Amino acid sequence: MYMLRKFRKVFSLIILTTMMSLGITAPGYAAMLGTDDILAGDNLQQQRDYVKELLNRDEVQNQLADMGVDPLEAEQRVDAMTEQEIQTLSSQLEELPAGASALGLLAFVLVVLLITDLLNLTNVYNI
Amino acid sequence: MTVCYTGPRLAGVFLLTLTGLLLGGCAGTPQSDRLLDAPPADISPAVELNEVPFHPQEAYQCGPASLAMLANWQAVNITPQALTPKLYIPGKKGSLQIELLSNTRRLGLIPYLLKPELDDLLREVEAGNPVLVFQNLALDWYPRWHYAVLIGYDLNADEVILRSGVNRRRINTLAQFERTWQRADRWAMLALKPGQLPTTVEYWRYLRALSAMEQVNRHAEAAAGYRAGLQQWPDDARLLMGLGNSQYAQGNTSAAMATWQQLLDAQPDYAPAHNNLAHLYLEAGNIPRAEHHARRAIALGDEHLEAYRQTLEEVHQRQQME
Repeated sequence: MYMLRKFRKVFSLIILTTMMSLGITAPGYAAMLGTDDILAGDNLQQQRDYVKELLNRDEVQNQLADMGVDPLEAEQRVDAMTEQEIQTLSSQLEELPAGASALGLLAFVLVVLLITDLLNLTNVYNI
Repeated sequence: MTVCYTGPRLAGVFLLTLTGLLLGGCAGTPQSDRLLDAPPADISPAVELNEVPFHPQEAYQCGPASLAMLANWQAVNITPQALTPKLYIPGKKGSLQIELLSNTRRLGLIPYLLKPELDDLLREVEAGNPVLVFQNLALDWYPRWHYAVLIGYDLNADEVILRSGVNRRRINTLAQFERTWQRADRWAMLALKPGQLPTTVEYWRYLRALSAMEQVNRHAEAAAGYRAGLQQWPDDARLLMGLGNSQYAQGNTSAAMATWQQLLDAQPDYAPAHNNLAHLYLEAGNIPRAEHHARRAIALGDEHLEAYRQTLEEVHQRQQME
């Protein structure tokens, strides 16, 4: 798996270099306005940075894999995100909160939370 | 003598600090207070969606469990276990909000983020839409992030009812829920069937939800969404642009052309529609029509002017080729 990821990285770097050297910035029908262009409103034609988007994509995928997600699954997960979502994750994946449950509390905090639960400030216990 | 006071004084400082720590960031519960003091006349006092299925969560799996409940409610057949590899991040021992959105899209449903108002949540429940909520069950300085599904409320009894964790009916007071919810930035999501409008629908929230569907190539679902939006906002330019784009992306060029023509009939000066029509005519080989629309777009001009010039450039290139 590691080799595969390594290969993907090299491969996308080659593509990126080629794109940059050819001065390609956008694929396909460049001047057709997408709905996201319309919604962005103020001057989106400041060329979308496709090179950066590809790098972000790769980075998020690798980070997910490093966090224990199956690498093939990670690729599909990133494919299901919008560019904006990928951009958010590429810069903030470490810090973003992940919903789980109230498992694994520290002993000191258990007491504090019992009090705050009784005060109706929190809702960790089933009271 | 002063030494004698040191103890109590220190203890006092300690207690004050502790209280400060505990209460700091507890900004009160204005939304619950308002709802309980003066319940809106147009909202039923009590609703519970008993039929929403319940999946008790396995360790750390509140994300997959909550999304499966919403999906099943919309007749999408999926189990929490099947969602786990798509949603759970072992290294974070949890699931991200962004991935709840992206996985809702993967299921063919449209994730819609609600306005962060408790009474909008209740209105959606009243309309039969369970709401997926994000909560911080503990404290700002010691967060315990959690997803649950709001399925009911009773304003007279001061209760909200949640499918949460291993509890089929977890009851909170409104204030208790508001606190845990506002500590998670009051994030709340619906999973809409394509073509369904939220009862509290807001124009920009809805548009962004549909545009995101398009971006991940869910064009059929997006098109159904735009059509439903057009019932609410007839002839709206952005909705018609979106509808045309999703029709075009599905390969239905003639439908896209009709949609944008309809838009120009209603708003002859809407430049983006001229621009995209120019492309369709160019594809169809009708270069005079393409040039006409490209020139109109440039003459009208707006923030996309650069794109319109590019369009005309492409038209000229085709003219030279022929």
